[in-house]
Amino acid sequence: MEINLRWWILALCNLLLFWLQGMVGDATGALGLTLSVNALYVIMPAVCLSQGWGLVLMFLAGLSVDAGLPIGFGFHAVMFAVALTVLHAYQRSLQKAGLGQLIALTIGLNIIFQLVEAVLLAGPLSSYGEYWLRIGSDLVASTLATGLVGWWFLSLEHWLLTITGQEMAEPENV
Amino acid sequence: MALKRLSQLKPVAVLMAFLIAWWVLPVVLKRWVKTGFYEFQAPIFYLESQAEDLQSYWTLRGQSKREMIAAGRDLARENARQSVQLQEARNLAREVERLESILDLPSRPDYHYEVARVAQRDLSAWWQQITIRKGANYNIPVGAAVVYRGGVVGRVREVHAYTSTVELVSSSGFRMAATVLGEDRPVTYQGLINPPFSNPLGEVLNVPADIKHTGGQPLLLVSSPLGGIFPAGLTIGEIVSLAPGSDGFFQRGSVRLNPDLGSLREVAVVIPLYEEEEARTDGD
Repeated sequence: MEINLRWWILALCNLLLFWLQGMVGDATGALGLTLSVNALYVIMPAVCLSQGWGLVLMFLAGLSVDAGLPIGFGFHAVMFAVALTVLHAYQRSLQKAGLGQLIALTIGLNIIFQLVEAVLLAGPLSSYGEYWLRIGSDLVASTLATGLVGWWFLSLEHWLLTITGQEMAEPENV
Repeated sequence: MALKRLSQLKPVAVLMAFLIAWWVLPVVLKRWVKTGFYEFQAPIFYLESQAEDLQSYWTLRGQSKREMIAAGRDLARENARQSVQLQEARNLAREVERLESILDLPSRPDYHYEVARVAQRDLSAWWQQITIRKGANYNIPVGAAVVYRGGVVGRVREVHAYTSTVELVSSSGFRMAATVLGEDRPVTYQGLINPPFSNPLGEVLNVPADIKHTGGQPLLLVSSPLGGIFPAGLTIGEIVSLAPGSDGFFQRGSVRLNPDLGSLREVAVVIPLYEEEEARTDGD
């Protein structure tokens, strides 16, 4: 079986992002803020990988996120998989997009992810004003963080693919 | 034409195949996968926490001898003060035992405290939890109380090979029996939310109608032994407001928790001695 180097590079980048997100969450938690940049797990795999390999990566990333959390195991995996499938339908256009456009897309997707989480995980908290205040502040902070981190992270992924001689598109899609 | 339409549905079909494969996976297998994923990533934050300790160590190494001597002197004073208090506590414990034997009372539950470093904090809008650097390797039981010098921290939710996850007292799913300091009637405490840039909040339910704030002083909410997990009298937080509940008999109010909960470095797991003996017997 041929080793898909592009998949491994993006998997390692996602592992790095997972570690950094945990470290930042550890620091900002005491302030009552959560910086979520989950959309960054999805964007490059949707642009560069075939749907099958992309879904495998999304399940791995989503299950890693879910493993330590008190939520249904697979919640994030399913969310990432659905997002990847939707984005994959526009893969040819996304491969031509510039960094700024990809960051704008990441911010949009991140906002959608956070709103989905806010609604599905709220439970009885939804009747408290403080809950929506917290969600609002998390949304603003995460949007700013996605812009800044996204610029670095997407550039890193693109640079790693370039120096290893990988094209942005899978050979069968070119 | 029809073939082209069908090929357009291929991505959705692939997604559905993945989702169905996931949903039909047996629960036991999912639990096994979850444990595998957790144990795979646990060394990441374990090492990160160790690196933080090393960083603190090198920061301390950089301090002058004069500062270290002053810190040593302060610690010696604190040790002397704690030794006197320990002596008093031992005398009181002996007195309690003597009274229990005279009055033929059942003995009070005894606990063993396992001190553990905090490896990671995860304080989101939906859950607040910390990971500590002790797990099954130290016989930490699921459901054990976790405390610190400021009072209640939470309860052990999951125990892994070398780490445990603790649900904080501020987490929205957290409930425990409590009492207002100076009262013996039980009330219910539940975690609520951690608003941005302010203290975490909780809620107190089933407060008798005659309990009121006096002189604008907040009432102190402490743990009750009724739940069978927490020792009595540990601080949970301050009741900042009370209002009549919907039933008209009881009140409900909001509880301000200690802001230190978000920056804990060290906690103690309270293990009832009978559980420890059971774990030792199982191990043998």
